[in-house]
Amino acid sequence: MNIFTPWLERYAAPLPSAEQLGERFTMTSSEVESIERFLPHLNEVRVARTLAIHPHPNSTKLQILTVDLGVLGTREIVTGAPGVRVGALYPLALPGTTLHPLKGDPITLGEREIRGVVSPGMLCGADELGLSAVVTDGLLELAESATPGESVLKALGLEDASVIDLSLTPNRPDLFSYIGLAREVAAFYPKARFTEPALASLELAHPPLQLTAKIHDQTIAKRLTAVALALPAQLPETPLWMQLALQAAGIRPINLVVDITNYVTLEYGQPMHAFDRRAIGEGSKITIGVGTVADATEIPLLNGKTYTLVPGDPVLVSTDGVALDLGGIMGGAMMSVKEDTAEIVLQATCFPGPVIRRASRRHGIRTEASSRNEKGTDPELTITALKRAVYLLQELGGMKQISNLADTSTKAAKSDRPRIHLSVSRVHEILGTSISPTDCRSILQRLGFYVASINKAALEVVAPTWRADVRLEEDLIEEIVRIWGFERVPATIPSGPIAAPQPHTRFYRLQKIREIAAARGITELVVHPFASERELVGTRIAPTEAVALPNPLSAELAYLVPSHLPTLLRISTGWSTERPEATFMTYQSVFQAGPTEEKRLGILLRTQADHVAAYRTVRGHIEALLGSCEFQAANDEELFHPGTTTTVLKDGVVIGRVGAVHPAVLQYWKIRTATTVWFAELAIAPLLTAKLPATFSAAGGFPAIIRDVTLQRPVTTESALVAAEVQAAVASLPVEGMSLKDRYVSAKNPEVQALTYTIVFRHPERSLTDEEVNAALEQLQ
Amino acid sequence: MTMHPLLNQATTEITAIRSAAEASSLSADQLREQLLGKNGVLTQIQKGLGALSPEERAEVGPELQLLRLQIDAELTTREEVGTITELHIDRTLPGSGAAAGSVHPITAMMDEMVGIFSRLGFEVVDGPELVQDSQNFTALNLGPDHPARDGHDTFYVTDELVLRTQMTTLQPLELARRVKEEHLPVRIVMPGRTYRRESDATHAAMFHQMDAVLLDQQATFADLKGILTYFVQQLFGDDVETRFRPHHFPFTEPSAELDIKLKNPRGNAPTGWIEFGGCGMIHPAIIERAGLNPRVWRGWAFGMGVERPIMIRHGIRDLRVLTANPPTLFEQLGSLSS
Repeated sequence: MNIFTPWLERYAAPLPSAEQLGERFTMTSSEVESIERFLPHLNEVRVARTLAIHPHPNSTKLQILTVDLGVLGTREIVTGAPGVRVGALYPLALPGTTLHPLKGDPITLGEREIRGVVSPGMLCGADELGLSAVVTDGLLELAESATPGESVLKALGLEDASVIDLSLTPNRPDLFSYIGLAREVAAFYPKARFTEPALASLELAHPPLQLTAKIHDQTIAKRLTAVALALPAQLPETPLWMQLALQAAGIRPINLVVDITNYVTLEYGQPMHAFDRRAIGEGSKITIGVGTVADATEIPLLNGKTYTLVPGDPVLVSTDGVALDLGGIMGGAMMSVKEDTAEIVLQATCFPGPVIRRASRRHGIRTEASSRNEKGTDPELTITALKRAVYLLQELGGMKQISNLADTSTKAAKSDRPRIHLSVSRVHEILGTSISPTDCRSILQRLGFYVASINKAALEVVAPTWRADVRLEEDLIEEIVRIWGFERVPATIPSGPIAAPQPHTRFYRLQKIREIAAARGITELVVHPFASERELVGTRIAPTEAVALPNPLSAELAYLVPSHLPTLLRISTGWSTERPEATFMTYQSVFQAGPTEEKRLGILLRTQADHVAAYRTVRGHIEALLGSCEFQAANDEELFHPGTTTTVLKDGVVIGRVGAVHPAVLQYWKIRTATTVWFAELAIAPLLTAKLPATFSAAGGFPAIIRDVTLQRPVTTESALVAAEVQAAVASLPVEGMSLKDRYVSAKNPEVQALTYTIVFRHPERSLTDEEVNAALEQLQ
Repeated sequence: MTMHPLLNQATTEITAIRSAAEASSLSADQLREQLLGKNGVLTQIQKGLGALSPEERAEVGPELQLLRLQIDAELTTREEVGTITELHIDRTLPGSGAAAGSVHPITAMMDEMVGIFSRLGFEVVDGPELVQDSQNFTALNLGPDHPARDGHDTFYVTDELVLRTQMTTLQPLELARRVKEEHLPVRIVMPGRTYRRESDATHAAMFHQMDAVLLDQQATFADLKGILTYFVQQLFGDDVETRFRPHHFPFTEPSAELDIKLKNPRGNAPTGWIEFGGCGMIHPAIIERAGLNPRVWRGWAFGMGVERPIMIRHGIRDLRVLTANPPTLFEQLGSLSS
């Protein structure tokens, strides 16, 4: 909501500076997004008094004016404007000033020669200054009270005018209006007095036109209020102050009738619309109704487009049942006020918010009216807003009321306003500080609440009709504390008891896994789980396995990934030039069609080393992070290079798979073939539960004998078989540990692998001798 | 203090034998014999200790013994290690392997945030990212027609399942579970991934939040202010101011927004007041639905983004760099110095 400060000051005065007002709004009510001066460039446009008028030597249409600029001296200005007179005060834009007219591009003025005469500046009309949408040849005549030489903003009383952009929360639709804002200001800034604007009575003894309001569908509207007026032969122009107010709100002035309906919408927050009376019906008895359409109905709206309305859409209807508009959202193109309109029917309707929200979404139309109506308006407002609009139409437009006030409502319009019990002790309980009953009462009353004392320590409170959001004692406490001041609540440390903690093993064990991974040179990534269809296919993942989002942000982010592989490869590609060797890990959710969600650990290794080394590195990482696991060759999976798919088991349970990424996938992700990429994906959540701590057993007291033994076997022989062979040979001796120290395949003889094992022998009761160890190892060749 | 004559004698004689040995290229063994052997000079001199007064002996004895140990150590080194020559190392060479692994800045920040709350007795809670929309909204007082649902640009996965839009989604279920298990009062933190259908420099479709909830029979808004002030100071040190201002959340009443302001913002960190998190007293309807009497039990809740404090601390302007994971992110923020 944009607040134009001079407008707000009509209902709450005096106001502090815009900055102070903004600060108070932020700290007690709603957050201020920005504060801007209104038309700051007009500070450079000066008030000029006409001293003399001379004819232009080369033109009969142009004149030369001698103008007085006070301390700035006098100037000879060329103008083509009609009706200039000596003694009048006009705005003068001096060379260098930039003007921002409402129509067209900004103009920066220079010293211009006009038909042979140099003019050091330009006398301006309201349109050229950006003050009015009405294009005119005439100059803006300033009030006699203006001083020559001063800024035109000062002369217009807009010197301190600012636009405050307020960010409103959805619980406060009442602040979407100047009256609501003024009430709020009077509550948090008691120096300002709240004043309601003038209203028309709408009582007419013998109306020539009988107007009926009818709600055809009780689910579509809560209240409908309408009145008819006759327009004068010539509709006056909208006064400058109203045009300025609308512009500050970002609304383009159109004509007096539309401008007044827009103005009152902003004033009270109750949207309204004026129909050409002929659209409602001819004759002396007409009916305006509100309901919905029975079948799909095409209707052209004010934005020039035609929409197909469907049952459920709100519509205002004529006496004959013709749909006139998209009710509460946008007027119909055919039914609005036109050049030849002589009579209008002005209506204000209270809709249930969701009706408008659904229709606004359905048709993709958002307007000033829909943004207010969808939040739900106060049913009491339709009549007040109508009285205000009629007052302005009569005062500014010379219009005459020609019908009775038609007003109808449903049960839903009778707002149920609970009596809320507020106890002083509850205020203290919730806030941890005391606020006196006097303060509570005063704050609530300034906000428009009805307050009665029950006793010294309790109040009975009823919220005003515009505060349907306040229903509970806690709601009242919020109202009180925000105005009283959050900064006055002390900051304390909770003293309450603590339940015996249940440490979250999963979280802390993951922390440990991350630390170990980092220590092993692995970079942890946090990636979003989205991918495109193309990326899934490129990674040899069937899109049917993934979750397609019904409303993705873009085609690039259309799926939730069922595996970490595409997202990790995407990052890996980005790293390729800077860091050709890197290992990533991530522990996050992935999503499978179903949809189901599973948290998985993903590891992606990218190296210049060969596949054997890469496999051993990944396996080493997994065992370092999770403890010893079994690795079993498995049937090929799509993602992996043929012959590399490996199942990982922990304590006999399959937890995931490992493999070299398929060359076609690497090709898709533009990863060079010389690079080896291995990927592991493991569902480790079951492993992250609490478990008993490991018990430590110290090495025995007798010296160990440590030997390396190397065996040459065909490369096709699995190392596990060779290891078993070694174990069998030394079976008679006590072996404390055995590990593969080295595996070597020479380029000369690629058919043979040399496997070197380190074996630790230790007897628990005596020293072993070299002889017995040698004897065992000699069996191995 | 003057040197004792016996010590003086020892030093002089040892020096003489050493220079003679050097001249005649004596081996370490031979030198050991001459200095420390049965008839070595030092042995002979130590024999003279017996003639001294007890006071003198106490003074000179240990000194001579120290001399013997030093000579022994020196000769052992010469025998077993040989001559030690000076090394020539270019100390201007760069370090290698500094680009080691690292924990991601987001998880590091989450760990830090959880750490602060765990010192205050808060336990960690997690839960699924794919949730029923009723859990994400209705359970938090956001009915199907609640206007606040508009503010949530939600990823619907099916008609009923959504990617959770806020960590508060876990709160009602967790409270109900704790009530059922009679594990009360409640102090919990809930860190995790959340999703909104938006993307710009300060909003990502996937981002992280952490909620904290305290529920007991004496929680107050003043406590909430106290804990959050402590939390912010733990994160940013004394270089920070805080303020609480009104806001609206359907699941808290009263509600407030916590803003912070850095006294000395660094890098691209924003100046002025920064929105830091939402908070408030838990709405009585939520306490009631969890199975407790809201006139007896009350509590507060706090929710904040995880990316925001990282951006503030490191002066990051565009949060998308955090999930783009470029090498520079880890080079600059991955080490202790960050």
